[in-house]
Amino acid sequence: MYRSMTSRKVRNYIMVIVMVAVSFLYVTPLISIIYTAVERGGAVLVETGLKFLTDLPPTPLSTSVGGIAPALIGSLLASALAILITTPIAFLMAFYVTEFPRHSLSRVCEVVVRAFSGVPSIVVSMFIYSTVVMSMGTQSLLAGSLALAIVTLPYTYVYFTSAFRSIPESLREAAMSLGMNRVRALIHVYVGVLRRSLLTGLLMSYVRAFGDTAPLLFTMGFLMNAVFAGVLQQSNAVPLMIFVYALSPYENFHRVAWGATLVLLIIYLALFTVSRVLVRGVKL
Amino acid sequence: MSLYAVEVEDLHLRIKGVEILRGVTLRVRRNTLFVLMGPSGSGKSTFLRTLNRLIDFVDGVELSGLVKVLGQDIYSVDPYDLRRRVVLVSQEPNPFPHMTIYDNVALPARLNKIVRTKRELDDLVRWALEKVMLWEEVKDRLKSYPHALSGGQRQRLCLARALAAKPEILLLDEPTANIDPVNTIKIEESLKSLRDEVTVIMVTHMPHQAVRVADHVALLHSGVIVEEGPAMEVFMSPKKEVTNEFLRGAL
Repeated sequence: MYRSMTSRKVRNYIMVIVMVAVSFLYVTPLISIIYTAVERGGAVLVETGLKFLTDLPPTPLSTSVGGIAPALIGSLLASALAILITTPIAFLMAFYVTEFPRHSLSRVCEVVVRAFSGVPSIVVSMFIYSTVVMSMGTQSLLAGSLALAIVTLPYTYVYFTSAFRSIPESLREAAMSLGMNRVRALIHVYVGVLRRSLLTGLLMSYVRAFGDTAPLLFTMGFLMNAVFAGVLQQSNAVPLMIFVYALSPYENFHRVAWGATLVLLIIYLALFTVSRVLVRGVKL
Repeated sequence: MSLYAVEVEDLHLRIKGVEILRGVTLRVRRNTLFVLMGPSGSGKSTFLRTLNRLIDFVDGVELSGLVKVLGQDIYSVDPYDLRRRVVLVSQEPNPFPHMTIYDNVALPARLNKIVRTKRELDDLVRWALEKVMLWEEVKDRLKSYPHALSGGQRQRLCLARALAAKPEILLLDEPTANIDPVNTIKIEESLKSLRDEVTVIMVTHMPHQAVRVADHVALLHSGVIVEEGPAMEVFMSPKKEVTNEFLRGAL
């Protein structure tokens, strides 16, 4: 009896040590990335201040760091436009699939979304390039937004579906027993009850769109000489800029890339924190 | 106009092959407080949800027989219109958590365009809350949310919401099952005062509650109506042994 207790305790200690070690191995690279971004990007932000967010990028041989305004504006707008395109589609699909789970159209929706989520985002970029960019004759903010919309659709759909599935059956019955049809129940009850969950889903999808690079590679263009040229003209994006500048041979471009990385990280963490706070506030 | 609010003939209902109601035949007169009694699992809630076609939302339902509500076959009318006239209050209090107390009561009146002006709406909300004896408790906090209310108050709020829809039939699925005796008495008093305005059909598994409120009762056991009649008649001299057992609490 005594021996088996000791053996259990030893096994417990070993497992705790293994789990701590694995967690440490998992978290270390993340902390390292954040530390490096803060260290290198922080130096750039301290040097340039808010101008980093409002200035145009530097030329290759200039001594100044310049700013990331075209990329920042491009990212904010393209992500917003993508969410604007995605939201109504994902919302209606999620509502339909939740309300009529056994209908054949629901099954089609599920299959389509699953297929979309499995498509590599670079393929989406090429698809938009061959359809939208080729026909428009130029890369554009619109093309980038469409690519981001396709990539974020499954995420938004999944968030919305799980939100609709979380509605207590008692509230559905209350709405129906007052004579509401499904659309009235959606407008007057479900949206109100789920407003925080739906908003969280939107924010998380926005975060996803904001940080994605591959869909923009062939679609967005690389605007550098203006903050914004129009929806149908070339634009830029923060992840795209980091990708291109990090691969360039110029030292000041590397510094811009680190600064942009920190900005991206800050925006991501801010949006993520807001969405977590919203989730915590959900009371049904 | 039919004398009866509800007429059911030989109703059989199966859910996923399991027979829940087995040839129910029943009539409920208008403007009475009808109590359908029966032990748990006898099919009372299913029967209630059949009357306003909420049962349509359950998968695998097969139904035969005739169900007429307010003189019309329920499958010949628009189900949403039917549910506006035949409103159900569930066992579990389910006020809409994102709406204020006022808006919870006002919602059905707004949706069904029962009133035209804000003044009329205010009056209707007050009337409904007074009917369920909740007005005095909430009149100073109509803009509060239902989570600030106790379970019993929330159930009365749901009853007020149902009344504000101005239904012709009110279906109550064990409305006092989860609440304290004080709130239970208030709900029962409210129901008694509603007789002249609406037909009330309530299900309960508690015989003593049926004794307190019912004009007319029926006992449903294993999906079959065992006995029915005026409340006093059934309580004082039950004709069937099963009814006797139920009233003694032995079922």
